[in-house]
Amino acid sequence: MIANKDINIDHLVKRFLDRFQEHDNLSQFPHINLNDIVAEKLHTINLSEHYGGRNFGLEETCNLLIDIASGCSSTGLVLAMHYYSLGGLNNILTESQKTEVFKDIQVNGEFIASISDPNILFARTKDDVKQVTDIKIDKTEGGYIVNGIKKSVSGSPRIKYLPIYGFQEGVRSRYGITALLTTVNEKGISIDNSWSYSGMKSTMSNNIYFKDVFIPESRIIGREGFGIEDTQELIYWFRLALTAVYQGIALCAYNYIRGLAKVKKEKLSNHQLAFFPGVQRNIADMKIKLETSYSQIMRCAQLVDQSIINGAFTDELYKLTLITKQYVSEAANQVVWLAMQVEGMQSLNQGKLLEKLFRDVRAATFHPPNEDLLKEVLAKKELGIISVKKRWL
Amino acid sequence: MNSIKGDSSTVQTIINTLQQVLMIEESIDQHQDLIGLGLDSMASVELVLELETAFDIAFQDDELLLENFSTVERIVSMVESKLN
Repeated sequence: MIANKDINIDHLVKRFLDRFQEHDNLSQFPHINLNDIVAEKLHTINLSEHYGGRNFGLEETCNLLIDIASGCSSTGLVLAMHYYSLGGLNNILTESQKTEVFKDIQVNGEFIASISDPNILFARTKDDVKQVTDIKIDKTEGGYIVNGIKKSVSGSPRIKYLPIYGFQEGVRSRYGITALLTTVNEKGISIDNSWSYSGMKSTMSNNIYFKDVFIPESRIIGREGFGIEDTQELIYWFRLALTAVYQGIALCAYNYIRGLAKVKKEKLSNHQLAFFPGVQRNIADMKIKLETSYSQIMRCAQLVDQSIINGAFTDELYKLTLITKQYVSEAANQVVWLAMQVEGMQSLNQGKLLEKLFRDVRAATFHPPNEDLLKEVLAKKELGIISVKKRWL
Repeated sequence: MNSIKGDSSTVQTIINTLQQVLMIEESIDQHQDLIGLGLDSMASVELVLELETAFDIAFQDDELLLENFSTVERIVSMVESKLN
């Protein structure tokens, strides 16, 4: 348990751990876990008191997410998307939008999804942006018509609010991306229930389709055509909230194996595993990785919190979020791997905790930007290469 | 601005482009660090594209380093070498 402004969720973590096997085996969405979160009024924790929150910044939200994910990875991931959208949009939405949306979330226990990936890391022109953006937005009287697909929406059975980026033809801006806040109840929206992945099974991260969906102009996020420029905070919240989930998975593996090492005996000697040097070495390596990755998350989150207050984000901070995502993703995978080395073949037995964590933690490097893209972006920023033309010589 | 070497219309176009890309109205000195004024990776892409359009030139891949666009003086030098 990591301290969080007097909030102790040990009891929730235990409940989540008790339920993981059933949720995972049956590929069930963990509604019950989210109900617990709402019942304890944790679902608006990073909003102001006016919306039932406690003004959690990114640092405190990451601490909470680490705890939640140490009980259930899928619940952690769904909530990471929810919290990052709330946190990132808090300074962007208008007061009337916040009153409508945040109050609904507070009072009715609703959830908000992650904003769609604009996929523009290497887009050089508006034509490139148009080509790679999965959602298209057209202006119409009183609002916008939306068509396209929002892929892999974690928590799709439970979310109500669905922020999107879409390409809008004819607007005068660098990218031509407009951001809108839609809801899954709009006419023309459908969910395909196609999620069938072995990792993060219970997140039900289905694709959501938009066919001629009308969104009133009161639901625009920021300025028309400036969806990317006006929502910069979201990317920082996203990266850090995501890393917190994988840190939580690693913490879960560590807690499990530390306990197991004290009770499981090696057959030949009849001594507990804890007394064997190889096991001790693995425990030490796991602890070192956990602590260093935690420090990295906290340092980065503190800097982002400060930048939000100052209203300025630098290239250095952007790079730091990439570094944090990569470092924590690698460390978390290594921690689960080491835990499996200690438990042995049993850790691959379906239904065992480490077997599930092994599948879940592997997803870390695939979240955008995936590992290859992340390193390319980081290196080019470090070298000062302006990615205008070819990605490679 | 008068202290900047180069054709005055070229210099003015470059400064106008920089002000537009960096979304600033203040004057820009010849040696002023543009990165300090907000020329980050996103803005540098827009700057290169705008300069290519404004002067009908094309920068080579190996010229596309942030340091080559870090002051007005350097940009003027690069642009004029292509115009000449």
